[in-house]
Amino acid sequence: MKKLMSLILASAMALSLVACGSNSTASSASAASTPASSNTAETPDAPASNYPNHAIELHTHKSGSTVEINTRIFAPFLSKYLNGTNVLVVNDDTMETAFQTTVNADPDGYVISSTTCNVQLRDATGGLTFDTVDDVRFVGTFTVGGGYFVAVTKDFAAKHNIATFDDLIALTQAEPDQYTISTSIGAISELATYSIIEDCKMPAYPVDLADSNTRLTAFLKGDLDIFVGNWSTIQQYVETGDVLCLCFYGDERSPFVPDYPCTKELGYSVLPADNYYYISCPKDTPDDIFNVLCAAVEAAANDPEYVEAIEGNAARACFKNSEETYEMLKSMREVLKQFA
Amino acid sequence: MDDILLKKIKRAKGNIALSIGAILLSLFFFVESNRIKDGAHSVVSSKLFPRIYAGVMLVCALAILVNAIKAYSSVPKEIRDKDKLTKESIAGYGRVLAVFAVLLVTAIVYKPLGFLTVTPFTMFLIFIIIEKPEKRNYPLFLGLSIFCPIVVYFAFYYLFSNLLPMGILKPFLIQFM
Amino acid sequence: MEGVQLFGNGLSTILTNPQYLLLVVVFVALGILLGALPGISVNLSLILCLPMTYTMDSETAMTVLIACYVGALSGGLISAIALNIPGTTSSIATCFDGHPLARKGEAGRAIGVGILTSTVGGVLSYIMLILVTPLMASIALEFGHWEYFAIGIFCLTMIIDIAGEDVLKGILAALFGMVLACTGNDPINGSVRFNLGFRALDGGVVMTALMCGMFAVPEIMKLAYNRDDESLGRMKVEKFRGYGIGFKDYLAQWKNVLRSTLIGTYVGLLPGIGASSASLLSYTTAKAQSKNKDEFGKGSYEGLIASETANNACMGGAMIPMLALGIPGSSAAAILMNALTLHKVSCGPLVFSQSGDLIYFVFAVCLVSVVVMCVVERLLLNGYLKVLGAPRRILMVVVILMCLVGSYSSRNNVMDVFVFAIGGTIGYFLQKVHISSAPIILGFIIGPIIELNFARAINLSRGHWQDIFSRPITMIFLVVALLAFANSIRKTAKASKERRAAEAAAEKI
Repeated sequence: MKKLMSLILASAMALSLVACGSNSTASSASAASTPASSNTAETPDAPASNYPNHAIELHTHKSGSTVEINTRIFAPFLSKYLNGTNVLVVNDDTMETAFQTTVNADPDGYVISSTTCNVQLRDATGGLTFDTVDDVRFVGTFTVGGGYFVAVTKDFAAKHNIATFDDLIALTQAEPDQYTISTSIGAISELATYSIIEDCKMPAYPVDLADSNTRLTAFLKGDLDIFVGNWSTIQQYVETGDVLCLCFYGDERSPFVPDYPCTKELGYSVLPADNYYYISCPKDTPDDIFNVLCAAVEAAANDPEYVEAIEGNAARACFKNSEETYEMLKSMREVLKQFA
Repeated sequence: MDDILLKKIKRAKGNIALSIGAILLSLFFFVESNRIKDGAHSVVSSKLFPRIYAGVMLVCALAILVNAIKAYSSVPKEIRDKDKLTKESIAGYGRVLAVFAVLLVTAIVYKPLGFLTVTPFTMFLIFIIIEKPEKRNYPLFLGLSIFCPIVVYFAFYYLFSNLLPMGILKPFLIQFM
Repeated sequence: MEGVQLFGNGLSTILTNPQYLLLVVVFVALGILLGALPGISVNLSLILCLPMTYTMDSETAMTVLIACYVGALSGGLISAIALNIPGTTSSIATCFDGHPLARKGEAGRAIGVGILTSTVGGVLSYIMLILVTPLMASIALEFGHWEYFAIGIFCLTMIIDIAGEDVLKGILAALFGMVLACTGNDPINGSVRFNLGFRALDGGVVMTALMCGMFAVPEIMKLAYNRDDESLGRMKVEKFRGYGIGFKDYLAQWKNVLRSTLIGTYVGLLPGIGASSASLLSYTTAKAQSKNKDEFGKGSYEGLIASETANNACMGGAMIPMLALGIPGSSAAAILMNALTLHKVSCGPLVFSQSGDLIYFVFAVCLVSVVVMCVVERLLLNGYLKVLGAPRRILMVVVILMCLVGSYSSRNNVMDVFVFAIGGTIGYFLQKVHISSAPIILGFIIGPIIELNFARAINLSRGHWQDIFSRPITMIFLVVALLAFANSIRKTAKASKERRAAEAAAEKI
């Protein structure tokens, strides 16, 4: 028994020793270690303090969500511009929880969050115990979602003689509330559907189909008449001709798929519903640490490899600095309050 | 025959306790469902299904209660009086509640104190509770209580980039990150 | 023909490239280890391995994930049989007969049979995946929200079959599970339900924590209560050879195996139903068709074969709509699809023409992984049995540690640790009054399927609930569910009457 006890304690000590390692080499199997390929962008100068000197927790939405995936794509690039410091993506069950973790964290720069405007929407509809604009410090925006396309199936288009967005509007106006349109309650895309109904004067019946798989299934089956969602969901069906894409929601054409007119071109003024991804840190984070984070986020968001990587997931790199992010989210929350 | 009747009475008592608990729970869910706020465009109320479930639970619980009371009443009083908790079973339930208390305290202090601080105590205390005093192997329990959490903690971090709560050991553990 | 050629290319790439073979072996083994750990579900195993793949090329990444997926799905049967704690939700039905076999000293043989039948189910469903994906994919589109609602109702009737003697208690347990599933944000309206004032419960109760709690905590509490009971010591394991079953004996189960494979593949095809429903459906069908119905629940190899075959056949089924339509058939398939997306492979009708090489490579990895799983898991089995042969009072405490970790890690929410502790204690006292944890967990899984699909169906019908009558598949499932329910009630009432008569006769004596 004594031998066994010694063996166990020795193993425990040995494991602890093995686990020791420097910041940059500690986690070779980590998700967020420095990307293998080299880059051409410059890394920022080291700050006067030795921040960061250990791993940073980047809190985000639950595993498998679009936000989480895009955050995981971003994390290694952020790590690169933080001198190879491990940026450890931590999943929380909701984005509000991830945001709140930052609100309550120590202002030492080691707990930050990656969330989207859905948090501001939740704030606008009430129920949060913290302020999503003034209770944190925004480091910067790094990505924007790919936007929303309006589409119908080929069969639906043939049956109702739909060739353009205006044809669809005319159809729904002739038979109000007879045709279903997808929405996603609690997400920014809900704003897009609402604006299509109200501002484009398309009196369709909104149906909450939160995840893209459910939406696609109902759409292809014919249970859902009007699809509003990401290009990646319908791309292949548009290419095979099974789905007819009518327009892109917003004031400019989609940079990914510029073939389709935007709602502004067609004469409709819609509410802004872009879903921006931004990094937040605790409100009282000291300036020297804050500036390091800002510089790293800016460099990572502008890294050509990141720009290419994020496009593969139907989103695009989009950098806004701290002040721009603050103003954008503040005005968005006001718009969302009116919508709510 | 006494054994059969004793089993019957034990079962009946259990069912009575179960049905009372279920009735209270279903009433609780029913009342709580009144606090649920529906969205502006709800076609199907958020209260609908919880109320259906609570309603059917209540019906089932009442049916179980009626059957249990019938079964209880059908057993002669002298047999009913024989069914008492023994010292051993009271001690057993005491240990069960001790395990529950250990797990509950673990949940409470898990995040503030951290995984590596709390789980060795959890493991050690449960080892002690579930093993007879004369058979306890304290060095083995101690060794496993320290070794297993350490292995799990570092395996989760280094293999899977999954961070378990550091708690009060954060200043020490960040050296390994 | 081109597909066969591409598949051949994929297969030869794996078999002639030591790097891929080694990855398959290592990650199947890792998956088995993770899946066998209570608290680490198939999804969590994939989530844990996913970050490793971000810097890999697409072939390597898919090899790692699929090998891990195959291993984890099969690994769940080890703890289900040996410890009566399902490693994954899809192993719940395996507990019904697997653990009674372990208590008889046949743990090794039961696990061996489980490994063999998992392999057969997996191979057959992957062959279907390879040959008929485009054809079968369209079946997924025949099922809409009304159909899923009806399937959910049908699955509920199966709970009565597994409830045991006391059907009312089984129904009560299922309803308790269904109410627990209502906790948190209502997925349709976003309203918060039953969070008891705790914001941490806004995300609801998570399956892993509840399942670990309800299966693992009662076991440790039984050990605490029965401290003097020597029979709760080490698990006895009889010696056995091979996979614990002869070729002829297994072949005699061909109808069971084929039926279970078809059920698993078909149910896997339907997004949103899940492997747990497939294994349950297969189990109850096997029980209904068996000549030895009474043995089910007491250690029947037939029941074990039915649940494990269907469980693993779901893998192939879930990948069919994922690849052909871009609609994953399960949450694990959704994780695989996300991984493909990250490597710039879009699933959908053009996936074969745009990424045919990779897709057929994936098929080849699936088949090789299942075969490797059969060999590796059998080789690891002796080691597992040695570990499982440790004193139960030591083993279960380590299991509790893993369950704590698994409960917390799924979403880093400490409320899940509370659910584990409190849910487990409730589970123990419910078992004291002869209510097993299985109906609660199954109600927890099936409740949201019913509610969500009903709400979406009503929404899509713009409030016209009468549309349900115009859907033949829905009506068939509802009618069958009603008949199955009535039949179960009738059988239970008859059995109850016979039991009361026997008790009365015994009392008179």
